Amino acid sequence: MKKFIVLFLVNSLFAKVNIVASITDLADIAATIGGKEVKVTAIAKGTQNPHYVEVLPSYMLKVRRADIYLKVGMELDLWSQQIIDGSRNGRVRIVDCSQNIKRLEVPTGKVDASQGDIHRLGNPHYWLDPENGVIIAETITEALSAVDPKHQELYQTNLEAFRRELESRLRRWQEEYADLQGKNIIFYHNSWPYFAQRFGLKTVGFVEDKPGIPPTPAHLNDLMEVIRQQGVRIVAMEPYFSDRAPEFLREKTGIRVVKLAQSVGALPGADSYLDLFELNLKTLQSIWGE
Amino acid sequence: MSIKHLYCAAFLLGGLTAQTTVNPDVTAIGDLLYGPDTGWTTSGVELALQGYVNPYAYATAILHKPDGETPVDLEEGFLSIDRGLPLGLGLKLGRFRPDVGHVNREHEHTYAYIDPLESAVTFLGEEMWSGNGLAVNALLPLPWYSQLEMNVLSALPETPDSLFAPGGALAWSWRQFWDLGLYSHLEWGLGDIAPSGSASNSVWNTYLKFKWKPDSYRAAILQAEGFALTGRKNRPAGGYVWGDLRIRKVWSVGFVVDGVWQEKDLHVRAGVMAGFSPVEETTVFRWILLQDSTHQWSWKTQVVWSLGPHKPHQF
Repeated sequence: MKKFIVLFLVNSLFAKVNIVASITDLADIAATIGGKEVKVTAIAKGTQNPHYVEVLPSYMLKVRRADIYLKVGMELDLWSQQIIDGSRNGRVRIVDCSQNIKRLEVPTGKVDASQGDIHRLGNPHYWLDPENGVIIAETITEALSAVDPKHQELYQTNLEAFRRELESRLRRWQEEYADLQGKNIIFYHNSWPYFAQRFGLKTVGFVEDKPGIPPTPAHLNDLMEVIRQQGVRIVAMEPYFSDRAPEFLREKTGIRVVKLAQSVGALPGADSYLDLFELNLKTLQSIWGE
Repeated sequence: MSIKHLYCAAFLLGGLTAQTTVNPDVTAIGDLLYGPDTGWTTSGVELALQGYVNPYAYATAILHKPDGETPVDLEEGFLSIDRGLPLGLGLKLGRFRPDVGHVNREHEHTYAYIDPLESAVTFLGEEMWSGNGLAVNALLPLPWYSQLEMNVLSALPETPDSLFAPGGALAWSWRQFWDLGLYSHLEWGLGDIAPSGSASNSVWNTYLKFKWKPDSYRAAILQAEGFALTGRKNRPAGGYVWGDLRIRKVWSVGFVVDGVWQEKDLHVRAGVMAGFSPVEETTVFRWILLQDSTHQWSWKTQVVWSLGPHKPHQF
């Protein structure tokens, strides 16, 4: 019995904080802040569309012993609540990582399904601005410090290191990729307003007629006009979308179709939150540089 | 005033008085059907209201207004508590469809085969089985997801062949769930429904469901379920198997085989079906061609629409 109690105490002393995140980007930032003191799991893979995740009971088992659940929020990962409830974990701390984000595209009028898959609380793809990465990291640090105050200093140190690294990279990206400023681009889905704003890209259209709604032939015709009139050279898309419509545009207009990583793990090379931007910026510049 | 009316009144009153900034999710689902024998019909409109009552409890109210003179029916109205109870227990209170079998949990608008299956109707009733009462469930400490649930309900299934005398019911179910990879999983369940006074005349049920969904463009479901009544001469038994394959996000094709063995007579129906969802998650067109064991052919078509977060299909 004594042995069992000692083992239990030793196990408790060295137990890691168990974190489950809705998407890989939040998981990667949490792993950076938590270091060796955390065990992190992501529900949606980088290759999956985070809007539609099939809720599997095995995800509930992952959350069953979690200390922290990191949500994207802003109605992107509505599916996460079903996972949390199904886990039966009453002590898990649910952290909405969007809480301190300066939101873009918050609708001001009436929102309904005639406008497509509009998010009532604003565009939820905020992690695609690296400056928001710091805000996410601060939110995670706060949650980690509350759950595991013993390692509060370590989390704060890791946050400062992450902030320095991100700021230094951001300065470099803004110099190295300055020629992306003002370039016209078409995106498949409206996932990129934070990214486009940060790096000065000018979004002139979307392949989807309305968010989440597949393009109609009439809309593709309109897009061909936009491409020709405004000399658009790139249509960028997430890897999980069908490339039929972008390829049709390529055949008709010669526009280049590129896949960008919307999350960590979406494409080879997007192995971390910082690498994701490195990869996307390099991809875009390589085409405009041709 | 019946208990159904009381529930309806309570939920409607609750809905009117609880209009705060945190409103519940509301879904309205309707359909239109056409068949050569039935002409134009509709199953009516279903209204689902769902939301958190507090951080641990969730309320669900599903009202159904069938076509014609039939009044509004409360399909389900219950409170579920999934987190915060000791020993990781879950609790459901109110009027609900117990988790016995798979088809009993499915709502009619999600059927790829349009009309309820004969085997399910024979053992669970036209409207499937629901009752007033409570359910307690627990996740078993196994490496995979395994849930055991016990139900105490006021009513037994109202089956067309009166398999049960009216009365209370006791039921249990055991569901297992295994991931077969990143994009596919297998679910298996076993359950039993028995009159609360006697366990000798009970319906046993087992099901198996496979689902594969690598992305939102492709998916496949294969589901089989069997029922058997114990404690009676020439025990009736029945079952079905259906499969549905989603192609290019908007198209689906599938098959169904459904049979009941009763009074030494086997009645089987088999069919093929097709579906088209032009705008994802919100509208589905379906068509089914069936042949039964007397070589009678029939077909039916349906359009289902959904306004709100509930999907009209199972993909």
